[in-house]
Amino acid sequence: MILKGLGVSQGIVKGKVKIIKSTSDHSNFEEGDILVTRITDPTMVMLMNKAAGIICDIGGVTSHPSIISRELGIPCVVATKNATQKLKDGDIVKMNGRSGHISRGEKNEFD
Amino acid sequence: MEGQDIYLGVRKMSLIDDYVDSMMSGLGSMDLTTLEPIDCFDICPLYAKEGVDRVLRIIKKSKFHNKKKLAKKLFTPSAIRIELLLLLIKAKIAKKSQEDLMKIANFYNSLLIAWCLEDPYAKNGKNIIHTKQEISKFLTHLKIANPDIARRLGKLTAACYHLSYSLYSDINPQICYENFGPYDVSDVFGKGHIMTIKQFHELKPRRLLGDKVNDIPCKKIRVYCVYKDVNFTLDALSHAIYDGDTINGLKYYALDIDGALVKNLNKVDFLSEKIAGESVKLWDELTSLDFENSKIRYLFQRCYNYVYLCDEIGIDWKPSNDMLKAVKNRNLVNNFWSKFKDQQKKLDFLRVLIDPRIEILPKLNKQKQQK
Repeated sequence: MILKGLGVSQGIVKGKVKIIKSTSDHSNFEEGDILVTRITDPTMVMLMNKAAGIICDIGGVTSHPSIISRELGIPCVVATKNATQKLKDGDIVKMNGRSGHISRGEKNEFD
Repeated sequence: MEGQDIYLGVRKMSLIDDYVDSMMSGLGSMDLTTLEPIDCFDICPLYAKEGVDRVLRIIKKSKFHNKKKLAKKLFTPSAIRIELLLLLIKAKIAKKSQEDLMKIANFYNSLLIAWCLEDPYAKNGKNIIHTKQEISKFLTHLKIANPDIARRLGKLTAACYHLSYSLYSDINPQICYENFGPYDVSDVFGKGHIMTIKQFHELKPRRLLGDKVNDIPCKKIRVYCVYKDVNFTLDALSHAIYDGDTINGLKYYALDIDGALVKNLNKVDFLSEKIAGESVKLWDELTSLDFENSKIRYLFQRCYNYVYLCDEIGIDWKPSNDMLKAVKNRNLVNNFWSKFKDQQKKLDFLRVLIDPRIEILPKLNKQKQQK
Protein backbone atom coordinates (compact mmCIF):
# COMPACT_ATOMS: atom_id res chain seq x y z
CA MET A 1 0.00 0.00 0.00
CA ILE A 2 1.45 3.34 -0.98
CA LEU A 3 -1.32 5.63 0.17
CA LYS A 4 -4.33 5.60 2.40
CA GLY A 5 -7.23 8.02 2.39
CA LEU A 6 -10.94 8.08 3.08
CA GLY A 7 -12.89 5.72 0.87
CA VAL A 8 -16.05 7.56 -0.20
CA SER A 9 -17.35 5.64 -3.20
CA GLN A 10 -17.05 1.88 -3.38
CA GLY A 11 -15.39 -0.18 -6.05
CA ILE A 12 -11.96 -1.57 -6.87
CA VAL A 13 -10.21 -0.52 -10.02
CA LYS A 14 -6.71 -0.37 -11.42
CA GLY A 15 -5.52 2.08 -13.97
CA LYS A 16 -2.98 4.61 -15.09
CA VAL A 17 -2.52 7.72 -12.98
CA LYS A 18 -2.98 11.14 -14.50
CA ILE A 19 -2.15 14.06 -12.21
CA ILE A 20 -4.31 17.10 -12.85
CA LYS A 21 -3.03 20.38 -11.46
CA SER A 22 -4.49 22.82 -13.95
CA THR A 23 -6.63 22.92 -17.07
CA SER A 24 -3.50 22.56 -19.20
CA ASP A 25 -3.28 18.95 -17.98
CA HIS A 26 -6.77 18.09 -19.21
CA SER A 27 -6.00 17.36 -22.82
CA ASN A 28 -3.85 14.27 -22.06
CA PHE A 29 -6.49 12.58 -19.93
CA GLU A 30 -7.67 9.33 -21.48
CA GLU A 31 -10.73 7.19 -20.93
CA GLY A 32 -10.07 4.80 -18.03
CA ASP A 33 -7.32 6.87 -16.40
CA ILE A 34 -7.25 7.39 -12.65
CA LEU A 35 -7.82 11.09 -11.99
CA VAL A 36 -5.47 12.34 -9.25
CA THR A 37 -5.79 15.92 -8.09
CA ARG A 38 -5.78 18.10 -5.01
CA ILE A 39 -9.58 18.48 -5.16
CA THR A 40 -11.90 18.32 -8.13
CA ASP A 41 -13.76 21.35 -9.42
CA PRO A 42 -16.46 21.92 -12.05
CA THR A 43 -13.91 22.33 -14.86
CA MET A 44 -13.08 18.64 -14.46
CA VAL A 45 -16.55 17.41 -15.34
CA MET A 46 -15.44 15.87 -18.65
CA LEU A 47 -12.44 14.18 -17.03
CA MET A 48 -14.56 12.75 -14.25
CA ASN A 49 -16.94 11.28 -16.82
CA LYS A 50 -13.99 9.44 -18.42
CA ALA A 51 -12.17 8.45 -15.22
CA ALA A 52 -12.10 4.90 -13.89
CA GLY A 53 -11.46 6.26 -10.40
CA ILE A 54 -10.69 9.48 -8.53
CA ILE A 55 -8.04 10.18 -5.87
CA CYS A 56 -7.77 13.54 -4.07
CA ASP A 57 -5.41 15.07 -1.54
CA ILE A 58 -8.20 16.67 0.48
CA GLY A 59 -11.96 16.41 0.84
CA GLY A 60 -14.58 14.62 2.90
CA VAL A 61 -17.40 12.18 2.44
CA THR A 62 -19.68 14.90 1.08
CA SER A 63 -17.16 16.90 -0.93
CA HIS A 64 -17.49 17.47 -4.66
CA PRO A 65 -15.48 14.40 -5.82
CA SER A 66 -17.32 12.17 -3.35
CA ILE A 67 -20.79 13.22 -4.49
CA ILE A 68 -19.92 13.01 -8.18
CA SER A 69 -18.11 9.68 -7.99
CA ARG A 70 -21.06 8.07 -6.22
CA GLU A 71 -23.37 9.34 -8.96
CA LEU A 72 -21.02 7.99 -11.62
CA GLY A 73 -20.61 4.71 -9.77
CA ILE A 74 -16.80 4.85 -9.76
CA PRO A 75 -14.42 4.43 -6.80
CA CYS A 76 -13.09 7.50 -5.06
CA VAL A 77 -10.59 8.07 -2.28
CA VAL A 78 -10.18 11.52 -0.72
CA ALA A 79 -8.08 13.03 2.06
CA THR A 80 -4.93 11.16 1.08
CA LYS A 81 -2.95 14.31 2.00
CA ASN A 82 -0.33 13.98 -0.73
CA ALA A 83 -1.47 11.76 -3.59
CA THR A 84 -0.47 14.46 -6.10
CA GLN A 85 3.11 14.32 -4.77
CA LYS A 86 3.52 10.61 -4.10
CA LEU A 87 2.08 9.46 -7.42
CA LYS A 88 3.37 10.30 -10.88
CA ASP A 89 1.81 10.39 -14.32
CA GLY A 90 1.78 6.92 -15.79
CA ASP A 91 1.94 5.02 -12.48
CA ILE A 92 -0.29 1.98 -12.45
CA VAL A 93 -2.29 1.84 -9.24
CA LYS A 94 -5.02 -0.23 -7.76
CA MET A 95 -7.50 1.68 -5.64
CA ASN A 96 -10.21 0.52 -3.27
CA GLY A 97 -12.96 3.08 -2.88
CA ARG A 98 -14.33 1.46 0.25
CA SER A 99 -11.19 0.90 2.32
CA GLY A 100 -9.34 3.95 0.97
CA HIS A 101 -6.24 1.89 0.11
CA ILE A 102 -4.12 2.67 -2.90
CA SER A 103 -1.40 0.27 -3.98
CA ARG A 104 0.87 -0.20 -6.95
CA GLY A 105 -0.44 -2.56 -9.55
CA GLU A 106 0.65 -3.79 -12.94
CA LYS A 107 -1.93 -3.20 -15.66
CA ASN A 108 -2.16 -6.89 -16.50
CA GLU A 109 -2.37 -8.03 -12.88
CA PHE A 110 -5.51 -10.07 -12.28
CA ASP A 111 -6.46 -9.77 -15.97
CA MET B 1 -48.99 18.42 17.28
CA GLU B 2 -45.25 18.35 16.99
CA GLY B 3 -43.91 21.81 16.37
CA GLN B 4 -47.21 23.41 17.42
CA ASP B 5 -45.49 25.40 20.15
CA ILE B 6 -43.53 27.35 17.56
CA TYR B 7 -46.72 28.81 16.20
CA LEU B 8 -47.50 30.13 19.66
CA GLY B 9 -44.17 31.96 19.71
CA VAL B 10 -42.91 29.98 22.66
CA ARG B 11 -39.15 30.04 23.10
CA LYS B 12 -38.78 26.33 23.32
CA MET B 13 -38.70 24.84 19.87
CA SER B 14 -39.49 21.17 19.95
CA LEU B 15 -37.35 20.33 16.91
CA ILE B 16 -34.42 22.55 17.74
CA ASP B 17 -32.23 19.70 18.91
CA ASP B 18 -33.03 17.81 15.71
CA TYR B 19 -31.94 20.86 13.71
CA VAL B 20 -28.65 21.22 15.61
CA ASP B 21 -27.87 17.50 15.56
CA SER B 22 -28.66 17.14 11.89
CA MET B 23 -26.72 20.19 10.78
CA MET B 24 -23.75 19.11 12.89
CA SER B 25 -23.79 15.70 11.28
CA GLY B 26 -23.89 17.23 7.81
CA LEU B 27 -21.25 19.89 8.47
CA GLY B 28 -19.04 17.44 10.32
CA SER B 29 -18.69 15.34 7.16
CA MET B 30 -17.68 18.29 5.04
CA ASP B 31 -14.25 19.66 4.39
CA LEU B 32 -15.18 23.27 5.14
CA THR B 33 -11.94 24.57 3.62
CA THR B 34 -13.05 23.72 0.08
CA LEU B 35 -16.00 26.07 -0.43
CA GLU B 36 -15.46 28.19 -3.51
CA PRO B 37 -15.11 30.53 -5.25
CA ILE B 38 -16.20 32.73 -2.33
CA ASP B 39 -16.26 30.93 1.02
CA CYS B 40 -19.69 31.60 2.51
CA PHE B 41 -18.32 31.58 6.06
CA ASP B 42 -15.58 34.07 5.19
CA ILE B 43 -18.00 36.55 3.60
CA CYS B 44 -20.82 36.12 6.16
CA PRO B 45 -19.42 38.57 8.70
CA LEU B 46 -19.11 41.39 6.16
CA TYR B 47 -22.84 41.75 5.60
CA ALA B 48 -24.17 39.94 8.67
CA LYS B 49 -26.33 42.79 9.98
CA GLU B 50 -27.62 43.88 6.58
CA GLY B 51 -28.36 40.32 5.50
CA VAL B 52 -30.26 39.50 8.66
CA ASP B 53 -32.19 42.80 8.65
CA ARG B 54 -33.36 42.04 5.14
CA VAL B 55 -34.60 38.59 6.12
CA LEU B 56 -36.34 39.92 9.23
CA ARG B 57 -38.27 42.25 6.90
CA ILE B 58 -39.15 39.25 4.72
CA ILE B 59 -40.31 37.30 7.78
CA LYS B 60 -42.48 40.21 8.89
CA LYS B 61 -44.10 40.53 5.46
CA SER B 62 -44.68 36.76 5.30
CA LYS B 63 -46.59 36.58 8.55
CA PHE B 64 -50.04 35.83 7.16
CA HIS B 65 -48.99 33.80 4.11
CA ASN B 66 -49.51 30.06 3.83
CA LYS B 67 -46.34 28.41 5.13
CA LYS B 68 -46.31 25.47 2.74
CA LYS B 69 -46.75 27.77 -0.22
CA LEU B 70 -43.88 29.95 1.01
CA ALA B 71 -41.68 26.92 1.66
CA LYS B 72 -42.04 25.77 -1.94
CA LYS B 73 -41.00 29.23 -3.10
CA LEU B 74 -37.61 28.62 -1.43
CA PHE B 75 -36.94 25.77 -3.85
CA THR B 76 -36.07 22.83 -1.62
CA PRO B 77 -36.12 21.71 2.01
CA SER B 78 -32.31 21.60 1.94
CA ALA B 79 -32.14 25.21 0.73
CA ILE B 80 -34.35 26.17 3.68
CA ARG B 81 -32.12 24.30 6.14
CA ILE B 82 -28.97 25.92 4.79
CA GLU B 83 -30.56 29.35 4.81
CA LEU B 84 -31.51 28.85 8.46
CA LEU B 85 -27.96 27.79 9.28
CA LEU B 86 -26.27 30.75 7.60
CA LEU B 87 -28.82 33.23 8.93
CA LEU B 88 -28.33 32.15 12.52
CA ILE B 89 -24.57 32.45 12.11
CA LYS B 90 -24.99 35.94 10.64
CA ALA B 91 -27.46 36.89 13.36
CA LYS B 92 -24.98 36.00 16.08
CA ILE B 93 -22.18 37.84 14.35
CA ALA B 94 -24.50 40.84 14.08
CA LYS B 95 -25.27 40.55 17.80
CA LYS B 96 -28.98 40.18 17.23
CA SER B 97 -31.18 39.64 20.26
CA GLN B 98 -32.43 36.28 21.46
CA GLU B 99 -35.86 37.35 20.27
CA ASP B 100 -34.60 37.84 16.70
CA LEU B 101 -32.70 34.54 16.78
CA MET B 102 -35.86 32.69 17.74
CA LYS B 103 -37.94 34.66 15.22
CA ILE B 104 -35.62 33.43 12.46
CA ALA B 105 -35.52 29.88 13.79
CA ASN B 106 -39.28 29.71 14.21
CA PHE B 107 -39.97 31.01 10.70
CA TYR B 108 -37.79 28.49 8.87
CA ASN B 109 -38.86 25.72 11.18
CA SER B 110 -42.49 26.46 10.33
CA LEU B 111 -41.69 26.21 6.61
CA LEU B 112 -40.02 22.81 7.02
CA ILE B 113 -42.79 21.48 9.24
CA ALA B 114 -45.37 22.58 6.67
CA TRP B 115 -43.57 20.95 3.72
CA CYS B 116 -41.78 17.82 4.91
CA LEU B 117 -43.97 14.84 5.67
CA GLU B 118 -41.41 13.50 8.11
CA ASP B 119 -37.86 14.16 9.30
CA PRO B 120 -37.88 17.91 8.52
CA TYR B 121 -34.17 18.27 9.35
CA ALA B 122 -33.11 15.01 7.70
CA LYS B 123 -31.82 13.87 11.06
CA ASN B 124 -32.68 10.29 10.16
CA GLY B 125 -31.22 10.60 6.69
CA LYS B 126 -34.51 11.18 4.89
CA ASN B 127 -35.99 13.93 2.77
CA ILE B 128 -39.67 13.11 2.32
CA ILE B 129 -42.20 15.46 0.76
CA HIS B 130 -44.17 13.09 -1.50
CA THR B 131 -47.28 11.25 -0.39
CA LYS B 132 -47.89 7.55 -1.05
CA GLN B 133 -50.34 8.52 -3.79
CA GLU B 134 -47.74 10.67 -5.53
CA ILE B 135 -45.17 7.89 -5.32
CA SER B 136 -47.67 5.42 -6.77
CA LYS B 137 -48.17 7.75 -9.70
CA PHE B 138 -44.39 8.03 -10.27
CA LEU B 139 -44.09 4.24 -10.30
CA THR B 140 -46.33 4.04 -13.36
CA HIS B 141 -43.68 5.93 -15.38
CA LEU B 142 -40.83 3.54 -14.65
CA LYS B 143 -38.84 1.55 -17.19
CA ILE B 144 -36.41 -1.31 -16.64
CA ALA B 145 -32.82 -0.18 -16.07
CA ASN B 146 -29.47 -1.83 -16.71
CA PRO B 147 -25.84 -0.91 -15.92
CA ASP B 148 -25.40 1.03 -19.17
CA ILE B 149 -28.48 3.14 -18.40
CA ALA B 150 -27.27 3.63 -14.84
CA ARG B 151 -23.95 4.99 -16.08
CA ARG B 152 -25.59 7.30 -18.60
CA LEU B 153 -27.99 8.66 -15.98
CA GLY B 154 -25.04 9.03 -13.63
CA LYS B 155 -23.24 11.21 -16.17
CA LEU B 156 -26.35 13.34 -16.62
CA THR B 157 -26.70 13.76 -12.87
CA ALA B 158 -23.01 14.59 -12.52
CA ALA B 159 -23.29 17.21 -15.28
CA CYS B 160 -26.28 18.78 -13.51
CA TYR B 161 -24.42 18.89 -10.20
CA HIS B 162 -21.55 20.68 -11.94
CA LEU B 163 -23.94 23.16 -13.50
CA SER B 164 -25.49 23.88 -10.12
CA TYR B 165 -22.08 24.87 -8.73
CA SER B 166 -21.39 27.09 -11.72
CA LEU B 167 -24.76 28.82 -11.45
CA TYR B 168 -24.95 29.24 -7.71
CA SER B 169 -21.50 28.53 -6.12
CA ASP B 170 -20.83 26.23 -3.21
CA ILE B 171 -23.24 25.88 -0.34
CA ASN B 172 -25.87 27.47 -2.60
CA PRO B 173 -26.39 24.69 -5.14
CA GLN B 174 -29.30 23.39 -3.08
CA ILE B 175 -31.22 26.17 -4.80
CA CYS B 176 -30.75 24.03 -7.88
CA TYR B 177 -30.73 20.41 -6.76
CA GLU B 178 -32.41 18.20 -4.25
CA ASN B 179 -32.49 14.52 -3.44
CA PHE B 180 -35.76 13.10 -2.16
CA GLY B 181 -36.22 9.79 -0.42
CA PRO B 182 -35.66 7.11 0.34
CA TYR B 183 -39.19 5.98 -0.36
CA ASP B 184 -39.90 2.37 0.52
CA VAL B 185 -41.28 0.59 -2.55
CA SER B 186 -40.73 -2.96 -1.33
CA ASP B 187 -44.47 -3.57 -1.34
CA VAL B 188 -44.39 -3.15 -5.14
CA PHE B 189 -40.97 -4.51 -6.15
CA GLY B 190 -40.02 -6.81 -3.32
CA LYS B 191 -37.76 -6.65 -0.30
CA GLY B 192 -34.79 -4.29 -0.44
CA HIS B 193 -36.16 -1.89 -3.06
CA ILE B 194 -36.15 1.84 -2.47
CA MET B 195 -36.94 4.83 -4.65
CA THR B 196 -35.03 8.08 -4.77
CA ILE B 197 -35.79 11.18 -6.79
CA LYS B 198 -32.96 13.40 -7.98
CA GLN B 199 -34.29 16.78 -8.95
CA PHE B 200 -32.50 19.62 -10.71
CA HIS B 201 -34.50 22.77 -11.24
CA GLU B 202 -33.94 26.46 -11.90
CA LEU B 203 -31.25 25.44 -14.39
CA LYS B 204 -31.86 28.56 -16.48
CA PRO B 205 -31.98 31.43 -13.97
CA ARG B 206 -32.42 34.27 -16.40
CA ARG B 207 -33.21 36.76 -13.67
CA LEU B 208 -29.86 35.96 -12.06
CA LEU B 209 -27.59 35.62 -15.08
CA GLY B 210 -29.46 37.06 -18.06
CA ASP B 211 -28.28 35.89 -21.48
CA LYS B 212 -25.47 33.78 -20.00
CA VAL B 213 -28.02 30.98 -19.61
CA ASN B 214 -29.22 31.04 -23.22
CA ASP B 215 -27.39 27.86 -24.21
CA ILE B 216 -28.49 25.74 -21.24
CA PRO B 217 -30.75 23.16 -22.90
CA CYS B 218 -33.43 22.73 -20.22
CA LYS B 219 -34.87 24.18 -17.01
CA LYS B 220 -35.72 21.15 -14.93
CA ILE B 221 -34.70 17.51 -14.76
CA ARG B 222 -36.03 14.76 -12.56
CA VAL B 223 -34.50 11.31 -12.35
CA TYR B 224 -36.55 8.64 -10.61
CA CYS B 225 -34.48 5.66 -9.47
CA VAL B 226 -35.50 2.37 -7.93
CA TYR B 227 -32.54 0.55 -6.39
CA LYS B 228 -32.22 -2.91 -4.98
CA ASP B 229 -29.87 -3.58 -2.07
CA VAL B 230 -28.55 -0.03 -2.06
CA ASN B 231 -28.74 1.97 1.11
CA PHE B 232 -29.49 5.66 0.57
CA THR B 233 -29.27 8.42 3.13
CA LEU B 234 -28.80 12.10 2.88
CA ASP B 235 -27.80 14.82 5.26
CA ALA B 236 -29.48 18.14 6.01
CA LEU B 237 -27.62 19.77 3.10
CA SER B 238 -28.87 17.23 0.50
CA HIS B 239 -25.56 15.36 0.24
CA ALA B 240 -26.62 11.94 -0.98
CA ILE B 241 -24.72 8.96 0.34
CA TYR B 242 -25.20 5.62 -1.35
CA ASP B 243 -23.88 2.43 0.17
CA GLY B 244 -24.05 -0.35 -2.36
CA ASP B 245 -23.65 -0.89 -6.07
CA THR B 246 -25.60 1.92 -7.74
CA ILE B 247 -24.75 0.71 -11.24
CA ASN B 248 -25.91 -2.89 -11.03
CA GLY B 249 -28.36 -2.04 -8.27
CA LEU B 250 -30.43 0.38 -10.38
CA LYS B 251 -33.43 -1.72 -11.41
CA TYR B 252 -35.97 0.84 -12.70
CA TYR B 253 -35.83 4.45 -13.74
CA ALA B 254 -37.74 7.30 -15.28
CA LEU B 255 -36.44 10.57 -16.64
CA ASP B 256 -38.47 13.75 -16.82
CA ILE B 257 -37.12 16.79 -18.64
CA ASP B 258 -39.09 20.01 -18.41
CA GLY B 259 -42.24 18.08 -17.53
CA ALA B 260 -42.01 15.49 -20.32
CA LEU B 261 -40.99 11.87 -19.81
CA VAL B 262 -38.04 10.86 -21.95
CA LYS B 263 -38.57 7.78 -24.08
CA ASN B 264 -35.34 7.82 -26.07
CA LEU B 265 -32.17 7.78 -23.98
CA ASN B 266 -30.06 9.04 -26.88
CA LYS B 267 -31.24 12.46 -25.78
CA VAL B 268 -29.56 11.85 -22.42
CA ASP B 269 -26.09 11.62 -23.89
CA PHE B 270 -26.55 14.88 -25.78
CA LEU B 271 -27.89 16.61 -22.67
CA SER B 272 -25.06 15.36 -20.47
CA GLU B 273 -22.48 16.73 -22.86
CA LYS B 274 -24.25 20.00 -23.42
CA ILE B 275 -24.90 20.64 -19.72
CA ALA B 276 -21.33 19.65 -18.82
CA GLY B 277 -20.01 22.06 -21.45
CA GLU B 278 -22.19 24.89 -20.17
CA SER B 279 -21.11 24.18 -16.58
CA VAL B 280 -17.45 24.60 -17.54
CA LYS B 281 -18.16 27.78 -19.49
CA LEU B 282 -20.13 29.30 -16.61
CA TRP B 283 -17.61 28.20 -13.99
CA ASP B 284 -14.82 29.82 -15.99
CA GLU B 285 -16.89 33.00 -16.18
CA LEU B 286 -17.64 32.90 -12.45
CA THR B 287 -14.02 32.34 -11.44
CA SER B 288 -12.72 34.98 -13.83
CA LEU B 289 -14.57 37.74 -12.01
CA ASP B 290 -12.38 40.13 -10.07
CA PHE B 291 -12.67 40.20 -6.30
CA GLU B 292 -15.25 42.98 -6.04
CA ASN B 293 -17.48 41.46 -8.69
CA SER B 294 -17.08 38.01 -7.12
CA LYS B 295 -18.52 39.32 -3.88
CA ILE B 296 -21.40 40.99 -5.70
CA ARG B 297 -22.15 37.84 -7.67
CA TYR B 298 -22.09 35.84 -4.43
CA LEU B 299 -24.68 38.13 -2.85
CA PHE B 300 -26.92 37.84 -5.88
CA GLN B 301 -26.59 34.04 -5.80
CA ARG B 302 -27.51 33.92 -2.12
CA CYS B 303 -30.43 36.28 -2.55
CA TYR B 304 -31.71 34.26 -5.51
CA ASN B 305 -32.91 31.83 -2.84
CA TYR B 306 -35.74 34.31 -2.30
CA VAL B 307 -36.63 35.26 -5.86
CA TYR B 308 -40.07 33.63 -5.91
CA LEU B 309 -40.86 34.17 -2.24
CA CYS B 310 -40.15 37.88 -2.69
CA ASP B 311 -42.42 37.91 -5.73
CA GLU B 312 -45.13 36.36 -3.53
CA ILE B 313 -44.86 38.94 -0.77
CA GLY B 314 -44.17 41.87 -3.07
CA ILE B 315 -40.59 42.93 -2.38
CA ASP B 316 -37.41 43.03 -4.47
CA TRP B 317 -35.37 39.79 -4.31
CA LYS B 318 -32.06 41.38 -5.18
CA PRO B 319 -29.46 42.25 -2.51
CA SER B 320 -30.23 45.57 -0.83
CA ASN B 321 -27.98 48.58 -1.33
CA ASP B 322 -26.95 48.19 2.30
CA MET B 323 -25.77 44.64 1.64
CA LEU B 324 -23.80 45.65 -1.43
CA LYS B 325 -22.24 48.57 0.40
CA ALA B 326 -21.35 46.33 3.34
CA VAL B 327 -19.11 44.06 1.23
CA LYS B 328 -17.61 46.74 -1.04
CA ASN B 329 -13.85 47.28 -0.77
CA ARG B 330 -13.59 44.94 2.19
CA ASN B 331 -11.49 41.83 2.55
CA LEU B 332 -12.96 38.51 3.54
CA VAL B 333 -12.50 37.27 7.07
CA ASN B 334 -9.56 34.92 7.53
CA ASN B 335 -10.55 31.30 6.87
CA PHE B 336 -13.34 30.87 9.39
CA TRP B 337 -12.30 27.40 10.45
CA SER B 338 -8.55 27.44 10.05
CA LYS B 339 -7.89 28.53 13.63
CA PHE B 340 -9.25 25.22 14.88
CA LYS B 341 -6.51 22.60 14.75
CA ASP B 342 -8.61 20.16 16.73
CA GLN B 343 -11.60 18.83 14.78
CA GLN B 344 -13.61 18.24 17.96
CA LYS B 345 -13.06 21.81 19.18
CA LYS B 346 -14.22 23.05 15.78
CA LEU B 347 -17.37 21.00 15.99
CA ASP B 348 -18.03 22.09 19.58
CA PHE B 349 -17.73 25.73 18.53
CA LEU B 350 -19.94 25.17 15.51
CA ARG B 351 -22.59 23.52 17.63
CA VAL B 352 -22.82 26.53 19.91
CA LEU B 353 -22.71 28.89 16.93
CA ILE B 354 -25.73 27.42 15.17
CA ASP B 355 -27.98 26.94 18.20
CA PRO B 356 -30.54 29.78 18.32
CA ARG B 357 -31.10 29.28 22.05
CA ILE B 358 -27.56 30.38 22.81
CA GLU B 359 -26.44 33.95 22.39
CA ILE B 360 -22.69 34.08 21.80
CA LEU B 361 -20.43 36.65 20.26
CA PRO B 362 -17.77 34.78 18.29
CA LYS B 363 -14.36 36.38 18.00
CA LEU B 364 -13.29 36.88 14.42
CA ASN B 365 -9.83 36.46 13.03
CA LYS B 366 -7.99 39.45 11.67
CA GLN B 367 -9.04 40.07 8.07
CA LYS B 368 -6.50 38.93 5.51
CA GLN B 369 -5.56 40.27 2.13
CA GLN B 370 -7.62 38.49 -0.49
CA LYS B 371 -6.45 37.59 -4.00
